[in-house]
Amino acid sequence: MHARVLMAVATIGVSVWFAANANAGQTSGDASPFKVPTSTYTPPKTPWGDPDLQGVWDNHTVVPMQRPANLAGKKTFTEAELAARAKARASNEPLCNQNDERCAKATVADLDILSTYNGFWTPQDFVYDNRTALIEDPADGRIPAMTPEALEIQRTHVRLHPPTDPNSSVAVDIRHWTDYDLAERCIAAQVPTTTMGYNSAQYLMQSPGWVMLAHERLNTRIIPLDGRPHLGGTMGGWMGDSRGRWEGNTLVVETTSYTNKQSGGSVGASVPEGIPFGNFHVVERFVPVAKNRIHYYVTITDPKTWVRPWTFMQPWEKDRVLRYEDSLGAATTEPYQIYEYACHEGNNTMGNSMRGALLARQKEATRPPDAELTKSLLGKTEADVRAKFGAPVEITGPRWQYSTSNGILLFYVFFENGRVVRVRPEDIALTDVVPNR
Amino acid sequence: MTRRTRRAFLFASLTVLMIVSGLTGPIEQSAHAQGGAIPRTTWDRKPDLNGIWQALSTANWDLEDHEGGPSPVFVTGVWGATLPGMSVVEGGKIPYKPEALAKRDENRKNALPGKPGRNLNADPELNCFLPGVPRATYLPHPFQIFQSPNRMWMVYQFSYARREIFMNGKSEAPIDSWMGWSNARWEGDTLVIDVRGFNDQTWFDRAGNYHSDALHVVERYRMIDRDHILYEATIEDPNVFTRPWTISLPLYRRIEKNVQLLQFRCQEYVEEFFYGEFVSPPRE
Repeated sequence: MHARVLMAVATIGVSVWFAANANAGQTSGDASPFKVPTSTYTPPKTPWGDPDLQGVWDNHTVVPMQRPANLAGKKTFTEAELAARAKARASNEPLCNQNDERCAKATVADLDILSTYNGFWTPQDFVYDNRTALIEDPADGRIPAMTPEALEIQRTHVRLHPPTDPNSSVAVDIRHWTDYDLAERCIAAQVPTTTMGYNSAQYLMQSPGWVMLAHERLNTRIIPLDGRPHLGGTMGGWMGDSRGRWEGNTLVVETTSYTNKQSGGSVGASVPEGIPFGNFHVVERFVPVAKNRIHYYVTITDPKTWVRPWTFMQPWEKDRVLRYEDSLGAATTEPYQIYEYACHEGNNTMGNSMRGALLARQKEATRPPDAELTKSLLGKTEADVRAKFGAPVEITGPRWQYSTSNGILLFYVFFENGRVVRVRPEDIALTDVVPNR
Repeated sequence: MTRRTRRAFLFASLTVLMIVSGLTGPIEQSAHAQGGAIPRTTWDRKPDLNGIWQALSTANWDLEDHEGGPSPVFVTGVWGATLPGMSVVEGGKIPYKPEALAKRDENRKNALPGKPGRNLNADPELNCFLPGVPRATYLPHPFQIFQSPNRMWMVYQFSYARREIFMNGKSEAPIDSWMGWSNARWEGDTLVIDVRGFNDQTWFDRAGNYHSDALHVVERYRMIDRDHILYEATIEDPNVFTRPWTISLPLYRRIEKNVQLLQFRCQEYVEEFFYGEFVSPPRE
């Protein structure tokens, strides 16, 4: 209940703010540099005279970085549209791991949209934002055009790091630890960071001359405010080297000296995959706009990569009270607390999946060339599949699940209109599948 | 070397000499003699611990007395040598229960596994795991204390390990963790941090000294002049030790111009070690 009240208060405050600044994005043409809107809100001060922004700041959002094509020209949603979208999300919320009626009726396309496996990781309590994109400049809400040189670098990167198939139950082309993104490697997230999907808050701590940002997941940033020069070369590493200052009540942080190795998209990524950060100049502006609200503006400049700078904004909300429901519907509330994120310490998955990929390749190399693969099931009927393998281990809507003879590897058959339209993975020898009778 | 850093170096060397000559006792006298009143916060007149600190100690090799020694990996020559040091444990020895001492000796044998892979019997530092408390304090890396009214964080250069310190808090650890759950209070001018809720995965040093998940650590941070903290940690774990025991060592302020914590995200440095054997042939 408390969270709802807070949300309502934030809604009113922000509506006013957006009304006052409705034209800020549109008026900036390509020729004139984007001006971050100022705020008249005055935050409290620390004993040493800096604006006091300390606390736990959440940035959880569903607003995409770039405005989708079908929303071109539309900067914000109405309250009615927002409510409809929230309702649509809520109806997609039940996991299809439970064999409920909605899942049984789901189509293959529905399953792709439903957060079939990982939905429970993504709480639906977002920081209020009525926009259709995070990008404020350019006014079309899209990342500007890339230079030919940068496009070539990105093409090469993507060719060398093919993405894992999001519809697959296994990673499809893992060969090396650098095939995983930085977050999967438990090293870092990009700076600037956008929403992390879950546990997306950060603690902002201040001391005289310093700001420290402890992101719940991965990053710890330490930012001096004393005007010292930047570190040289690439000493800033994955997160870059940040220097901060106050401009009125706004914290301004400039970051350079990233390592060029920082080039992978990952959870919380603001920059698409395959764009090296080595030449980046990033300016973050933390603009306090209300008691518990910051508008976090980021301008990224790299003439080697983009034809012009671009700016996105994400609202942050402080000291939220989160609400949890257990499986019986009992609710508890808790002020947002940053917990330890021991990612690397528990990361058995990377080694296991690399080993699995290696073993699968070795097995494939020894498979008879005429082995009939799961792929050959495409177009077969439900009766054909039952005749071959018996009853599936589990049916989830249009998805039938079988296991292989080693008892470890599962594979999935997806039906539409009574025919197999997809098999994951497609390369299991049918002789390896144990009929379930 | 600028005049300022040379002076700092001389100052640090002198202090080290004085410590070596008598360990804990004389620190206070020498420090007081060197001057520099304890800085105090403007808001509550408590000692102001803000700054970047580092232990000048070999406790990370072994909390107890240890001689210098060759590198355990002979091809690294003296780069990997063990640095000698005197015990930082009050009374010299850690009061192990007999069976626990045997486990410590077993740990010591397994500390450096000598083969690749994620090895949970090895020293957790070798795996780049979070160091726990008090080990984070005396790793050969600086750490930074952030102190403001009713708030405190400590961030360590090693892996950017970090702790939120709950001031005047009595909160209970909701779950066990690597860095524990820290409640702090002031006893006069001493910051006392009560740390509980540890898992049993961290060690105290490379010599296999260890604890169980019943570990309870009470840390004491007492500034003895502007640039020195006397650090004490009392360690209690009835599963492993016959009685509580205490380590003490000084922490030095890093006074170089523009000093800051630098990146040591060591996860990257163990990837070949962990995953090298599982690499598939490169794609064409």
